[in-house]
Amino acid sequence: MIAYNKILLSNLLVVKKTKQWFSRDLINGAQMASVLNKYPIEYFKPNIFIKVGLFLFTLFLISAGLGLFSLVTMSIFMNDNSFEGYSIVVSIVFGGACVFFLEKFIQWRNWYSNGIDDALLYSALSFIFSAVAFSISNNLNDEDGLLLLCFIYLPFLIAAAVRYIDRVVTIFMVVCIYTIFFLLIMKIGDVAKFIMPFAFMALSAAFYFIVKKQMYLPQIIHYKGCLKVIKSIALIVFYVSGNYYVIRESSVEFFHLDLNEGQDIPMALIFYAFTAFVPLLYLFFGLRSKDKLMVWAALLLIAVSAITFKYYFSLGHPEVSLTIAGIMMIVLAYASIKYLINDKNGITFKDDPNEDNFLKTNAEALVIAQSFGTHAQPIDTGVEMGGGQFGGGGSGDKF
Amino acid sequence: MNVTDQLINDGILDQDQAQRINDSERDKPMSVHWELKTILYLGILLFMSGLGILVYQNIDTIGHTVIIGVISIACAASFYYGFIRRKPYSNGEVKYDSPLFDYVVLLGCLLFGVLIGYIQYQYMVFGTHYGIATLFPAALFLGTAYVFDHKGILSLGITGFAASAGISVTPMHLLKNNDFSSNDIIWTSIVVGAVLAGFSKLTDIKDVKKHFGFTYNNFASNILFIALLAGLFNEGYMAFVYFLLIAGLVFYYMRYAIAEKSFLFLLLSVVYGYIALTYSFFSLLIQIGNELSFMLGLFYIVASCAGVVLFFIYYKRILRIKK
Repeated sequence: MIAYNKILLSNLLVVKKTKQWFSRDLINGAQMASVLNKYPIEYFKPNIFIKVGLFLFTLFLISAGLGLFSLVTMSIFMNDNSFEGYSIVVSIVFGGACVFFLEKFIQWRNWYSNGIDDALLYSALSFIFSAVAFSISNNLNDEDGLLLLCFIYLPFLIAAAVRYIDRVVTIFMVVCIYTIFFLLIMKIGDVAKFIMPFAFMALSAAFYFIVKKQMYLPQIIHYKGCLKVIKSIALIVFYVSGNYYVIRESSVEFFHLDLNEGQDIPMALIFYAFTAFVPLLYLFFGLRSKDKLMVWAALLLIAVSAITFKYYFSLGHPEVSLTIAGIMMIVLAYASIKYLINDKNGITFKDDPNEDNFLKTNAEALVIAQSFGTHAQPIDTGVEMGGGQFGGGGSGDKF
Repeated sequence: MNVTDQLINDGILDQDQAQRINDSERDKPMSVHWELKTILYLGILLFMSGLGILVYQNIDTIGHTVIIGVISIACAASFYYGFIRRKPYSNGEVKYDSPLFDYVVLLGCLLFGVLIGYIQYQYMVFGTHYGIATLFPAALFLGTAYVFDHKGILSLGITGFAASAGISVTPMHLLKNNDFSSNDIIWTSIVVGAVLAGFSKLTDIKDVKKHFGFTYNNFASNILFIALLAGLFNEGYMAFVYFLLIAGLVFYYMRYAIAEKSFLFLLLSVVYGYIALTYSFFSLLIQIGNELSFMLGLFYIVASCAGVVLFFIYYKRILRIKK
């Protein structure tokens, strides 16, 4: 089922685990050496920046190839009225070529996750999708057309996600399923607006619990990354489908709800409560089950909830809110750091050197990307002193 | 199959050890180190922005002396905290255990910047020498960065230094705020970039705070490449010189990337170098300008992209041959 070399994938897993154990002194150097000997992981593994370069230039290469190919063949094969037919043929040819090279390079060169394979996979899918879109472009004007497209795309997305263990494709797959779900419910008619939020919650909950149950099955160990993606989306969509702002605005947008001044949506209180408590529940369960993903979702959604409430109950003093929010965050973080200096209930402030953490690996890049000091000094005409600005994040204002 | 079971089968682990590993995996605490630090940092940012606006709005009621007094005291307190907890200076990397240390020192520096800006705006202590008003805190930041071994403050100092020369170097503003059609900006940028890269090279040779190299060169490489590219795009008769300079810089940063194993610089040199090469190739094509040149251009893009992909695959072999 998986296109990549399965032995390589399993070896990567074994070596990753044992390296962590080695760094925690659970196994000794001789054992580590024999693991590395028994489970070789020799393949082309470029650094992340080179991967970015490979990805970009492979995409350029495919586009330029498409341009050159069209330039040569268009005048030969295209009559006045067959632009669509020509496009379909070219898309299929290029999509097929991308899949062919992807498969063959994985076979010949033992490629895995080096940027080129990602570029080939995404291009192949784009070509196949545009071929489909060109062939049914007459029906595309209405919701049924979109539904049809999603139904045709879904098997391709599932196949690609399963065969190439790709997380980006997994995202599109889940989005595709949600879209189909939404359009089908819309077909029911007037009842749709009442059941839509709860239907989305139910689907997300189903995704979450299915994934959670499957996560540690040994047969699908290589899909852990994809399952994590599905889990994160499920957590976020579950919250979003009950978020007060989303309910209110989508009622107006999709179901033509007219709200007068002072009026509120039906069941407003339930959705307020949902907006307030779901992130906190995520945080609680995330910390209790030591689930980092859930903690992250909780932190993100707490911010979203804060903004939601701020939007409807604004006191008109954003600077006061900013200051208070800042103080609260500082106090909370400081208190938690002091509290967690020693392990408490399986949670610690100590840095885990083995963890793959976005914040840690990108900390340096984030610092660099900060717009600390921003503006240059005016060289000749300096009416306005920009000095107050090089506080950057500190003071956005000219005093 | 579980990894521990697999290794027992291979005879690498024994039963006891596997048990210990499984226990340790189960009982390992979850680390929220970076999450809490990020919240703390965001909190400081929000607090500082909110406070900045508050002060700005209430300047009439609070009074300048009070504001200057409070900022000075807060700034002095931050630096005092920094100095009493400071570890002795070393040319190597100095790591602080306290998670708060970095933030307090950063806060002190930010406040100092605000203070100088405020005094300058209100009382014009530096007169119209705006460059000096920026250079002064920048110099203090650079010093502080070395004393406390703080890369964030180093970035502050570098941006301040460049700003006093008249250019914006923050990644977000490098292109937006600078008018690269003016030759003055281009030449200033080249000088600033060269000073940064040269200073970093010098400290590298002298073995002083080598881990600052990334920060210096990240600024320097982007300023230099963008300024040189702007020169290439602007100038008619100087274009060839700029092209050669870019080629030299690509060579320099490729070697730097390999030596420091910092592949961001390999990516940067290839991308900027590719832009320069493609631009030059197409300007030549346009000057020739016959029917074939469009075709030739497309062939060039296909071939050059394939070339870059091959380079990235075989860069180890290719660059070793060069050496």
